[in-house]
Amino acid sequence: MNTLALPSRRGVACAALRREWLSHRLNRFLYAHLALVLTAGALPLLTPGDALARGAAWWLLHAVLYAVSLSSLLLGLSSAHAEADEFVWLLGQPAGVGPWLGGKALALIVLTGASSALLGLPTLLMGGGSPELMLATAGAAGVAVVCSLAGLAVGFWIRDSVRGLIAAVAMWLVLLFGMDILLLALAGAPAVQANPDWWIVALMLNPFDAYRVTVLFAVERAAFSGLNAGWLAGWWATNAPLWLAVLTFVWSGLALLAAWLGARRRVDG
Amino acid sequence: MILVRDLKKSFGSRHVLTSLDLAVEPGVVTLLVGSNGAGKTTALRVIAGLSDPDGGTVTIEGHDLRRERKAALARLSFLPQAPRFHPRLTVLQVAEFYARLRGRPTDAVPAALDAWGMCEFERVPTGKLSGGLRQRLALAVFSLADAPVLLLDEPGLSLDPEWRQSLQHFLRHEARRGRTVLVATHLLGEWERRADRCLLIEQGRSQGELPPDRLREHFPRLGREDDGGPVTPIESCAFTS
Repeated sequence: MNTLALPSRRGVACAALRREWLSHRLNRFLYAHLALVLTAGALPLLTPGDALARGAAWWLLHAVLYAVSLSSLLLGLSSAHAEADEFVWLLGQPAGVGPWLGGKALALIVLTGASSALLGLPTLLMGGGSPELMLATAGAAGVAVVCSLAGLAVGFWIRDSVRGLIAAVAMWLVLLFGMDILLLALAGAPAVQANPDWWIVALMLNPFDAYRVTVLFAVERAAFSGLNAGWLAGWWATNAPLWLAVLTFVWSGLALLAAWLGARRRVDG
Repeated sequence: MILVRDLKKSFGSRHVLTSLDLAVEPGVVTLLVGSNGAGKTTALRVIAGLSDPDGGTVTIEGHDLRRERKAALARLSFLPQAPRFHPRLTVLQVAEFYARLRGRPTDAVPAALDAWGMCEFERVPTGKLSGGLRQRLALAVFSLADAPVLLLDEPGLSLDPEWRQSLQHFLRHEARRGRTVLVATHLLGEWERRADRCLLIEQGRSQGELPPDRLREHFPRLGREDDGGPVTPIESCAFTS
C-alpha cells in the first residue's frame, strides 16, 4: 500500500503545467489567438518606409486592445471551462488546489506571454525595431497575461460555459469602453475638476487604459493637455512603462487570487 | 475505516443530510442504499471532501477530514457518479496526470488501464469516449490511487454486465485486502449477493443496517430488477493477485 507517497507541491505544479500544455495542443482558442497575434504582428509591414518603426507600435496598440486582449481572455476562459466537468476529481485530491492552479496558470502565462513576442517579430525582422516597438510588445505581453488569468478566474467562478462567456465579454467591454465612457461623462463634473488626480487614478488602474496611454506617450511623444492640473498626471507621463509593469503584475496577482478562490469552491449544489 | 457522526448538510432551505451516522469497516463491501434523494450522493461528496458539511464530523482512517484534510484525503479514493474528464486529453494523459497527483509512478498506469480494458483506447481523447469507456477510465484512475478507503457513487451505471461483474469482483478483492469499501447505489439487485453489509439512509438520516440477503424484503420492487447474473468466483477474477 502506497498511501502517503504524495508528491511535493512542485511535483503537482509540474504535472498541472504539463497537462495544461498538452490540453492546449488541441485548443482552437489557442490557434485563434496565435493567428490573431501573427496577423497583428504582420500588419505594421503595410506601413511603408521610415514610418515603419513608429507605425508598428500604433498598429500593435489597436490590435492588442481590440483583438489580442479578447482572444487571451477567451483562452483563459476555455482553459477553466475545460476542467469544469472534472472538478469532482481535482478537488478530491489530497494535493489541494493551490499547486495545481499554480502549474496551470504558469502554463497560461508562458503561452500568452511568449506568443506576444510574435507581435513584434515581423517588424523586427524587417528592420523596423525601435524602443517603441519593444515597449508596445512587452506591454502587450502584460495585457495578454492579465486577460488570460482574468478569463481563468471568470471560468472558475462561472462554470456554465454560456454564462461564463457572457460575463467574460462583458468584463472586456467594461475595461475597453465602459470605464472610458464613464470617465468621459464625469470629466466635466465640478468635483472631478477640483480633484483631477482622482480622475487620473481611475484611468491608471485600468490596464487597457494604462497600456493605451503608455504606447501613445511613447509613439506620439504626447502628454495630457492638462498636465499642470495635477501632479499625478505628470508622474504618470514620466513613468508610464514602470506603472504599466507594476499594474499588470498587480492585476495578474489579483486575477490569480480570484481564480484560486473560484477553483477552491466546493462542488455544492 | 470511515466514521461519520451527526453529519448535516443543507442547500438553502432543503435539508439533505439531517443527522447521518455511519461506521464503515475495512475488509467488507458495504452498500449505502436508499431511495432517490435520500442523500447518498451528498453523503459521499461530503466524505470525499468535495462539499463542506454544515455540522458533524467525518473521520477517515483516524484522520479528521476538517482538521487533517490532506492526510484524510490521501487515504481515500472517490469515484463520482457519471465521471467526466478534460475532453482534449487522451486516456493515457489523464491517467498519467492522476498518477502524478497521487505520487504514484507512471509505470503503474499501463497495468491500471489494462485491468479495465482501456489500453487500446489510450490515445483517444476522453471527449470521444462513450459513457461506458469513460466509466472504465474512471475506474482505472480510481484504482491507481491505491488508497485504503474506496468510495464509489453508482459505479456500475454505464457499464455493461461483464464489466459490472468485474467491478464487483475488484471491490470484493480490495475488501479482502483489508480496504474499506463503501458503494452508494440504488441498483440493489446487482449487489445483494456481492455486498457484505448494507446501510440504509432515508431523508438524510441513518436508518440502521440490513443484511444484504434481506434487501428484497425491504425493497419489494427489487424482484423486477436485473439480478446481476451468475456470481463468478473471486479466484477467477483478473484482479486477484
